[in-house]
Amino acid sequence: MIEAKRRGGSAWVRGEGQAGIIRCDRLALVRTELPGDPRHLFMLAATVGVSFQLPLEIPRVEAGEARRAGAVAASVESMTGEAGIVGPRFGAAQRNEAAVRGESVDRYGFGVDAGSEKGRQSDQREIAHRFATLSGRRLFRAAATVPLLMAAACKAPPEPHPSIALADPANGKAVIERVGCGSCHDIPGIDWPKGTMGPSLDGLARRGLVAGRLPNRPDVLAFYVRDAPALVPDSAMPAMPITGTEARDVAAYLYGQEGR
Amino acid sequence: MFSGWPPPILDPAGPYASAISTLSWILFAMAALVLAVVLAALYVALFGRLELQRKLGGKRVIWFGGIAFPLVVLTGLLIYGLSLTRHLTDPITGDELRVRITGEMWWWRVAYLDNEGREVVHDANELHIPAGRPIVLELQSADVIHSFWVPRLSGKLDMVPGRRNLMRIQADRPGVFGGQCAEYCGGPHALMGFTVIAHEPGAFQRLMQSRLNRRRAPAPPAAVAGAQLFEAAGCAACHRIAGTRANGLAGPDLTHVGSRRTLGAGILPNNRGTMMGWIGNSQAIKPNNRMPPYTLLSSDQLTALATYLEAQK
Repeated sequence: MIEAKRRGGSAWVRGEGQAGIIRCDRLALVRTELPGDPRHLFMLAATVGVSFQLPLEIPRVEAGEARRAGAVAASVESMTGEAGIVGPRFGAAQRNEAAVRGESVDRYGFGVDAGSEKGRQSDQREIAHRFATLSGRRLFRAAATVPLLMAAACKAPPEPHPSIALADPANGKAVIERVGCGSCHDIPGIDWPKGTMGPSLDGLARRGLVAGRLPNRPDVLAFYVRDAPALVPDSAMPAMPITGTEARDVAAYLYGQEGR
Repeated sequence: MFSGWPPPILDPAGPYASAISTLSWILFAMAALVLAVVLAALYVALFGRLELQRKLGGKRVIWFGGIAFPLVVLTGLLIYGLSLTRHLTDPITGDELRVRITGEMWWWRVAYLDNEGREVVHDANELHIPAGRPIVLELQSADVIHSFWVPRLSGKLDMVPGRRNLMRIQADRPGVFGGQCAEYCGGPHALMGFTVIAHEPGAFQRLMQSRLNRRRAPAPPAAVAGAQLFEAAGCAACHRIAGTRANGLAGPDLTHVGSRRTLGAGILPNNRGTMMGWIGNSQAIKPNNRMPPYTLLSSDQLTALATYLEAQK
């Protein structure tokens, strides 16, 4: 697993563990070559403000892999200026450390200033500054991330997303009605239809897991409602015709329903 | 379906609906005038001078205001209204586009006719028309009385079992217009909607030509499993897809279901999610409709069916 931790002025990335979450606030394509399920060799892109889980089984982390993990983190971080890599089950091992500069690791979607426009601008200035002052070892590491960045560039540019705290639940409700989420789900506040093929979304904020396996976090939910098969390939829930911004609005609406 | 402002009855999009809107405004105006007169009389009766009150209670006022005035006004309005809307039910004169629409419980069977009145293209719950041209609808019913109503394009006319009622519609410009069954027909009557899509004449010609030329149902590689399942799961017993062995006529024709804007007869948007939800358990969405729930299908099977149906453009 990969961990980024703030220590003094810099952050540390560790390789250890089994699963984790990469959070990035910009589109990033993360390619891993860690041993494990070949299906997961290519991790797809996460949209702005969306975390996704690394479904990797990593039996052992070699020094070189840790470096690769560091490169992943560096690429994500250098693109976003604020992304941290966080695993829920950090290993205790202190070996295979690779230093990567980072700002914070705990900016989850509901953070007060997470993804705020002001914060983002200062982050962008910070990125520019960092690229201007790259040196030696760090330059080498940055070079290693170039393929990752190029791969990321293949996708359309990300939409400018507000943080979920700034998302618009009222618009989320309109989107739910427009695309007919109710055909499969019983959704509080949506009088009709109340489909039965999928689970009721009543009191979603209190649920433990999304789709029975993903952490119930705003950014995960926002990604899931838009492109469920990317996170859970065998889910019956299909990708829905909504934008990333609309997905965040939908997530905000669903979290706002207290439950009956 | 009819949400938003202005209400569709006051927002006509063609000549036939315009006549009805005009009539509506005149009725509103007349009603307002009569209300004003009645309120004035009431005021006089309560607070007016004794002399005026005595006149108001006389026989002349009753004869004039209670009998002569309504008789003249209502007769005039009736004649005016009938003349204003008489073209709605003009008979077929020759080269109009003809479409047969049959009300079913609780959806609409649509058949485009050639000049001899033969059905040439089949569809359901959706009508494509060219803008700027009158279309003659032959309205029928297969079971109970329904009523065809697309308020922005024309009037409201009952579909009576055993009868063929003609009504004209026209859209002046391309657009999408919602419709609704306007006669209670049992169970999910309120969920019996309709969509009319008006195209530029050229685009309409191309659409009809492509539908006339369709010989084989599209079956891209991804949809093969769904095509087999469509027959194996029994869908074909009730639904028809032209160019395949599926030839059931009890339910809506699915030959062009992938290009439809709505599912479930004008009530759901058409996307993969709503398609799977509808197939899986349409009873939760439209209670008592005649399609049974298919909760025996796995998610893979539902996805396969949806993939196949999406390809039926």
